[in-house]
Amino acid sequence: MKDEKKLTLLSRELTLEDIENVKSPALREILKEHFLQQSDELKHKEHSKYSEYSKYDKYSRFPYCGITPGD
Amino acid sequence: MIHVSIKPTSRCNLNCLYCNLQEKSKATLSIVTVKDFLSWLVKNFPRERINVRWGGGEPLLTGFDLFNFAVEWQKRLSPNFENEISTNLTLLDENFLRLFKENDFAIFTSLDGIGHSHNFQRDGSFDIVIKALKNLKEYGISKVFVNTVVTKFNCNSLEEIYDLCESLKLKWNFTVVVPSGIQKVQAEKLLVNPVDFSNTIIKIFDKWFMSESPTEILIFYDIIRYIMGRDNCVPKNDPQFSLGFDGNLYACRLLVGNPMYSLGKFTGQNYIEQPSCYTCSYQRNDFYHFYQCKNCYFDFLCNFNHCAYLYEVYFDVPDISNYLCNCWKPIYAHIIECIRAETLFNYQHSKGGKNNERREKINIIKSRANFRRH
Repeated sequence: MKDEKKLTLLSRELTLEDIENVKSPALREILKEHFLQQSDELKHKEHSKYSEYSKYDKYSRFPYCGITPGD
Repeated sequence: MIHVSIKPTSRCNLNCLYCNLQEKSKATLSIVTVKDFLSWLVKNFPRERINVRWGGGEPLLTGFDLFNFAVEWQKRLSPNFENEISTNLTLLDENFLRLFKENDFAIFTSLDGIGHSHNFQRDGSFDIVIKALKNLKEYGISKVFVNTVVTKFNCNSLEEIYDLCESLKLKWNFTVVVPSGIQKVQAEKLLVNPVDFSNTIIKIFDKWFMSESPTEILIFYDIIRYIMGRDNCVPKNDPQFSLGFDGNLYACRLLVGNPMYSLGKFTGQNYIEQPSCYTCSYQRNDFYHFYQCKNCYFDFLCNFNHCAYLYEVYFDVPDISNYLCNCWKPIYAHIIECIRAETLFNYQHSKGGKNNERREKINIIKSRANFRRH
């Protein structure tokens, strides 16, 4: 039931061409990264190019529900 | 990856209005304990990358020697260590700058406003913090993350902070103030109006969303990626635990100092069967079945943390959980709507046999988002 709520399929079904046409630069980059993670071949070729956001995974503290610095 | 938090002290040289420390103790970790702990990590997880987050209190109060030794000891033990530190930057000097640069530390700090609003909330430290941020930049330390705790006093100046971060090339984040710990009563007076908060953040999101070179706002990246199906919260299968200033091990860095959650004194011989954040997992499961989260459309984004985190702090679910939900739900809805609008635009202009199926899915998502939004 929970999985149905996710919009995973939305982005999975976008092609790279679709993504290139996204107007928001931020969203475009995230979609590219996500797309490349779905595609092993492309990921292998271009991972270094689009790994900029992946490297922040380890810094992710989401959701930030009022956790203050010092944590 | 192993996520480790070391809190060498709970002391701090500032007295921020919303400080969420559970207690201020004079206890400080010794160099020997830190050394033993690092050795124990490598012994138990020899092949894993080990991410160490130094926190507190103000960790720099423990002095340069502790950090210098810890980093040198890490190098002797394993190449798998990486470090990050939460600091208020007021004690940052040449030694620390050099150490952080040479060892590729990620720096997490706070900026609650420009001038007065920061000084009001964070004990008059604005000038020192700005100077330190510039020093970090001059030293070429690029992994600098600035967090803003949003209150009713600085909500209106969030855009200014965003602009400052953009000009200094800082990575920015924000949190809503949550009254807890030693300053709980005082912090309750700082609560921001949820409508003001969500409207301000939505305005900043729109600016960020269409910016040609967007400032790195981690929380926006995170939310979008979670919407696309990435696992939420801390990596569920990665071990994580913390060493507190009291010398005790904890399952989660947020629980340090709370004896109820202590896993016992660190002795160097500890055996942890499942060193993941079991308390959080347990509570989230509870919330999914019994609390208002069950019927919330955004549970896949929040992962019940609005309630679960508060439970850890208060040992109860206070009304403030609704407050946090009211702050965040309009933002979630807006971001979903923005993504939908962008991808739907592409959908309408693309060709192929899968279009009908895709349209149905997008319409379902759209109707859910609109329903919840209103």
